Amino acid sequence: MDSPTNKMVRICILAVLGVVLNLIEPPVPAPIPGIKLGLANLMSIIGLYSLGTYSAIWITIIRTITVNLFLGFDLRGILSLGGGVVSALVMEAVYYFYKRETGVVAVSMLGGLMHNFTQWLMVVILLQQPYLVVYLPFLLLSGGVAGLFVGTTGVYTLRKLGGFISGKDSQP
Amino acid sequence: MRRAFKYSSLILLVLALLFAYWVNKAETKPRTVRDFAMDTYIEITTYRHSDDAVTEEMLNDFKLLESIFNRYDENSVVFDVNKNAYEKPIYIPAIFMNLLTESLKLFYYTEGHFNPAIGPLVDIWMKVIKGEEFTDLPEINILNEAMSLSKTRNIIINEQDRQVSFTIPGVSLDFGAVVKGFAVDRAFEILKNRGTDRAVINAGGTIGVYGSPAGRKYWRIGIQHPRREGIIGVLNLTSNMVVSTSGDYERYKIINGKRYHHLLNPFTGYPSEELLSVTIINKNGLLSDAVSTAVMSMGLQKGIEFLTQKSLMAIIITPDLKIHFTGDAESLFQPEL
Amino acid sequence: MKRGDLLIYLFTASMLLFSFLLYLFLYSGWGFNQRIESVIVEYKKQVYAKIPLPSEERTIELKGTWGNLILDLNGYNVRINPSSPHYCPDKICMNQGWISKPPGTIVCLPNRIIIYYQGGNDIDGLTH
Repeated sequence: MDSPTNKMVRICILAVLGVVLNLIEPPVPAPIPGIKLGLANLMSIIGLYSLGTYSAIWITIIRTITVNLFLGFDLRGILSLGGGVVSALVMEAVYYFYKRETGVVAVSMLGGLMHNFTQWLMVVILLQQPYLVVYLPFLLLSGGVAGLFVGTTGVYTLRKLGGFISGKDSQP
Repeated sequence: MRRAFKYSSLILLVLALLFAYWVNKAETKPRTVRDFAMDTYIEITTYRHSDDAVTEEMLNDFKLLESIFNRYDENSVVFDVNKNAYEKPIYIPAIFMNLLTESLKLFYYTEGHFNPAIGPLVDIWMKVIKGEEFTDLPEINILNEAMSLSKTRNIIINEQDRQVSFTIPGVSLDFGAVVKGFAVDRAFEILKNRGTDRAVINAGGTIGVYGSPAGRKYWRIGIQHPRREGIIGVLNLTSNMVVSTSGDYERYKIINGKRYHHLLNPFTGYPSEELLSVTIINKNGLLSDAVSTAVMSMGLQKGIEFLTQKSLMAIIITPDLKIHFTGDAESLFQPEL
Repeated sequence: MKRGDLLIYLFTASMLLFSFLLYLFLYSGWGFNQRIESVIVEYKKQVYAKIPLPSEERTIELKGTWGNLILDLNGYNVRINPSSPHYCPDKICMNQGWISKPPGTIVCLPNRIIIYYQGGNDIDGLTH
């Protein structure tokens, strides 16, 4: 059950579920355009806590690239790739070093926070618009709240389906 | 490791502050000249000492345009035409012919919603707004008469002899809606001939950005909030764009709780009612000016249909303060928090 | 809640706090606004009056060919008093109300008076 192929297939299935969530999720009505709940991040969290290290980063990369193949690579694609990769890397690092001392909800929140922080930093640098600085608190807040929501959902999903996803249980 | 974790937020803050400082530092000092011309307020911003002569040249051109197109000035060409063109054909300068024929093209382009012959109707409503003669609303027969005068078919143009005449007395040309955009186009021409890098021209709220800004990617143009002080959002523009806004908040009077402003619907004879303001973003200032005026008169549904069909960028604000976009205008717009 | 979680929450809270402080710093009071240096009254391309900002709540009388124009000041807010006795046939300037920051500008077309802020400008123009 622990063969690399087995893990790879599970990662890919989670990534594809993430793609679907990404495509069907509507943006949240907010004064700043483009704020989303980031449901797709749920798949990275579930992957990380059921399949172990390196799964979140792979799920994120596969997911964002696939979504961009659907929507076409533009600024939004680059932003989602950058934000996703950095947030997944941070979550992976915390999981790797502090697995015992941290929980799903907090790690997910940190992921959401880093996701929006990275996107903001990229927008400010790429568009050279210093005045976008003022968006930062709103983006961080929404990222953190979305992360908390996704993390809480993740806890319940893992409790019910964690074993099935990792392959330890054969029945959901 | 844990200590590093603790201090990382501090490091991030320092980086963000340094970054904010750096981007603010990169701005260059603009030089702004303010003046009056064409019955409006002019603001020209340039970025080099050597551009002062260019600024002077543009201001002189604006004053030339004023001497031709200000219909309230008794010495202007348009005053002469409006007064005498029924009795005999009037010989007009090339600039006048140019703007007149372009305006007539835009009349057809906007399906009659921008009308250069709307002078008689404007005269009535300006009196209403200023409270001269009319203390109440004008009677319908007065409006109907003015509307029948405000038809472009009453204008006869003789391009060969560069003459213009009217078929009936009382016709009056009014270029007030387009002369600012026309002026910005001409200013761009001057900037191009003089090889100026960059400039911002504000002709009474019609704004042209020429060249690209120094040290950053976009020009930032605020759009006036239609119902309060300050801006409703900012447009991020790259080089050589003209932004023109028509709004019901500039010149108006409230009669019986209803707002009557200076932007008229040539088909009803009354001020247009559906929209608070229309902002058009285009390479061509004349077109921006004419279309923003025309869309005010068209209303929301017809306006959006028209703008989409012509693939023009516009920002429309409706009375519920909702912001509607056409073309790719949404990608340029940044709401004010 | 685990011990590490607490650190993460602390980190997040501090980042939020710092970003809000940054926002306050740049937006209200000390950042962009701080660089508003003064309000300038211009007449015929000449600086007619230059009043440093912020100002305490007060009124200023400007006498000239237009008569007596009354300017109200309060902090960064500036307006032409609605009952200002100066000569002005269309009264747009008096009815405009307060302006509080650039690119806010008050223009009195009949008298050729322009009132605008010096400094603090983060915008290249205002379309209206």
